[in-house]
Amino acid sequence: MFIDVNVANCTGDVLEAAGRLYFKFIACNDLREPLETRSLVAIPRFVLKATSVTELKNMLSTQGGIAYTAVTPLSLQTARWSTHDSRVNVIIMNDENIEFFDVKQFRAMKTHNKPLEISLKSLLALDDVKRGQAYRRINLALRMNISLIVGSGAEHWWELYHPRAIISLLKTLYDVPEPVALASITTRPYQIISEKLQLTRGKVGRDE
Amino acid sequence: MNSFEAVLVLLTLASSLVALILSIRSHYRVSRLVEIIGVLETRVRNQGGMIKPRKRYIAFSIVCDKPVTREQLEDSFTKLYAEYFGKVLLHKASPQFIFFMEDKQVGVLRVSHLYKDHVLAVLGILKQVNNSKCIAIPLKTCGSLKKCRKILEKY
Repeated sequence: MFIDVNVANCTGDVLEAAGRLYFKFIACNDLREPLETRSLVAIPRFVLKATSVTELKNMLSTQGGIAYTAVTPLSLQTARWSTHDSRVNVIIMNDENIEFFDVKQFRAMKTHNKPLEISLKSLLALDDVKRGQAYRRINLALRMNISLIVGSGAEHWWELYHPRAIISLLKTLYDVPEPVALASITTRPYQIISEKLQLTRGKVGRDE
Repeated sequence: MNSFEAVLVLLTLASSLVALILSIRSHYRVSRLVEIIGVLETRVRNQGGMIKPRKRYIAFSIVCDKPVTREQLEDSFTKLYAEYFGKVLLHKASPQFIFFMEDKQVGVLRVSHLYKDHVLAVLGILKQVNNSKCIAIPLKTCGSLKKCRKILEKY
């Protein structure tokens, strides 16, 4: 059961390609309600980019609880604060905020059991210097036992990755152990997705 | 022949028999020791990076918006491999397209077992072949071409 937690557009082509690549769950940026097809379930995803804690608090207060909530912190305070808010599901590391991810940040994430999310699309688009930084930070996170979640960041159907290719990519390019790479697209995201699905079913049950 | 001479002959015979038995036993021991040393030497050599490369056949399918030819696919794959892992690893791995069915858009790649993950990673990154958008789907990794052919026949 493979999960892609970072899909930008859930068009018909993307859903079909994801089903063909054996994904059972995907999280889409353009969805507002969960969507169930023959082969997979798509749930909504919110990406919150914030430079200040007040801005992030305002954004979180308006977002519903049934969506997969990912935060891209654009300042050190936001990065630290987002680790201990239970409404935030994952913290995204990309080229915009890679410098905020240090030992202290990972220690805070470990204390509050907050997973680190990376997108393959943004990782592969990094320049040489940033790619080196990303390599060091990912390995530091793994040494500190931070949960890793990997998404494709796909906007079109051809930008999706086959699960076996994701594992091999992480293993060869970032020295991520194979069981950890496998967990990053299966069990780790499923812990969040299952919680969201329970919330959705509970909401539907209450409405009925 | 008196009794003294008879005892001497018997003693000589007995000592030669004992010497023969001892030499046979020592020969067996030495040959066994040589055998054990040989096995240990092979193990140490294998641990030191001298692993015998075994062939792996990767059956794959490619889904593109326009059909692609074997030459186009080979060209894009080689360029991408060299970009991510360098020419040195490309030459060491030397991935070869054994065959590619252009009607079904499926094929088989051969590579050493040491570089199997590199090839799978490059198949994952392969998103564009001659201006057409693609996804490569690795179907199965086999130890023999025969098994891969069977899988592709069923596909």
